[in-house]
Amino acid sequence: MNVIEVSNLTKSYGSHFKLEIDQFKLEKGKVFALIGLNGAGKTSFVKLLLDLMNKDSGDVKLNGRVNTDPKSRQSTVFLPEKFTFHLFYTPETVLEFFAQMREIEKGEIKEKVHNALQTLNIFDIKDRSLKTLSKGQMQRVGLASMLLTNNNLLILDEPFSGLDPIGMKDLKKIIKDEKAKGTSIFLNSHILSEMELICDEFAIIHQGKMVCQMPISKIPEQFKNLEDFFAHTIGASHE
Amino acid sequence: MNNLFLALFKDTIKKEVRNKMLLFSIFTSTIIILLSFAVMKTFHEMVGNQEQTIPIDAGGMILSLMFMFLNFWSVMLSVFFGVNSLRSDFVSNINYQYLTFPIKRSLYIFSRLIGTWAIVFIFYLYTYGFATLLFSFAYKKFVFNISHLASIPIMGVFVFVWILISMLLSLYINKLGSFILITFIWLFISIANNAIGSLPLEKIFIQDSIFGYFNLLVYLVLPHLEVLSKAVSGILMNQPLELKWAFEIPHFVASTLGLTYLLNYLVRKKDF
Repeated sequence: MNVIEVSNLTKSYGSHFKLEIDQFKLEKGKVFALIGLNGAGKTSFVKLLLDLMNKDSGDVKLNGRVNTDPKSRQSTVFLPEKFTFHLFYTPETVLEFFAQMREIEKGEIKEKVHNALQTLNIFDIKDRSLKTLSKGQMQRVGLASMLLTNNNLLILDEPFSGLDPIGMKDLKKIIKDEKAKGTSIFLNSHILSEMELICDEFAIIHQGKMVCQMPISKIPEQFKNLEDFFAHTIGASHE
Repeated sequence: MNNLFLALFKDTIKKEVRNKMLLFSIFTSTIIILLSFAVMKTFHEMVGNQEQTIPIDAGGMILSLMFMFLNFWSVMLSVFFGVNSLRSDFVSNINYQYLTFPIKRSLYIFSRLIGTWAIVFIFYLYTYGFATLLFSFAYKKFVFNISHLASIPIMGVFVFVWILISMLLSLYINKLGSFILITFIWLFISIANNAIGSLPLEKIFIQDSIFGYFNLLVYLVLPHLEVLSKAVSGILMNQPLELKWAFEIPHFVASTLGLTYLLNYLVRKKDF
């Protein structure tokens, strides 16, 4: 089963940029990385997946439903590059609000929120307002929000950004645990060395087009690593 | 669905109740009401036994004037909160969190709309209640009358429409631009109502200039807020209301529903 299905997707920004994705699929349980240069169209693609932007043409399905149907996001969690929320909230109250919005039973909210706070080692700061948190602590609150529900799909935009080494270790563990539960994970990241270690598949997006999509294991042997292959592919498409 | 709306509604209240403008408005209004109370009390004690020289309903009249000031202040607050409600989410990129929950965009927008309205309306009720209480103390009788009560729901609708218009503008224009445009909209509505509203129905569509047709367009499309404003003032000042109710009520309902539909449509079509 595919958790993401995209066909003939287009989106134009005036005359200077056009995103065109002919076909894209993400299978259930896979960890996928979308990589590309700044301005290649990664964030636009994620926004189109989540119906944050209106497409010009094409079809997008999340969890088997067209993405304009809110139910397609029922078991999907999105973590933006810089997690933020109203600064008067505390980590505990923001997670309680997220739990309500994801329709967790009222009686289960407290326990789930406390478990998530403990998993991310932010239980001690649960009553501090968000405005007093560091960038890394704030990102951990965002990561904790992913642990409230049983997810089908996680969409993470530059998830390693702002995390300290321990935070990065925790995130990799979360990704591993979620994958073990059968959750599909879509990552948007620049840190190719990390992507190579945790992903099953990747795609390179360049100038609004997906120039390749393949399993990490299928990177041709003449390239030392993903970074090398990426540089070659982008270089090739420049020529 | 109701639980989701309630969660978003509470979130809007929590967000807006911390707004410095609300705290400033509560503080300023309270001071003004207290000052008015002090003046009224002094005046009442000074005239003492000469009550026959004071108009019988002087307390009610002054309270009416005070309510008109509070109405104006509430409209200002509606515009401020209406412009700020969605815009602050956009500016701080928090809207992504809301829009990626499994909810329709309309649920997010309308919970913000109703939550913002509730804040302004509660402020309005507080100032009404507080002013009435103090003025009753000053006059040693309950100065509130039934006409004041009748103006409350009309004022509720009035601030709702201003919040709606402010939200619509804030989708595309920054705060300052929205405030400037709202001033012009108020001006256009007033001019159109004065120019067209007094004409007999059969002559409304006969205009002889481009400005005339512009007035006609404004008159037909936008809610007649000028009429609501006059209705509230008329009720408070015990003046007769000469309004074409059979036309005004359906027009108001239709144009407000039209604006609500437009807000929902534009939010659905907006790229975030």
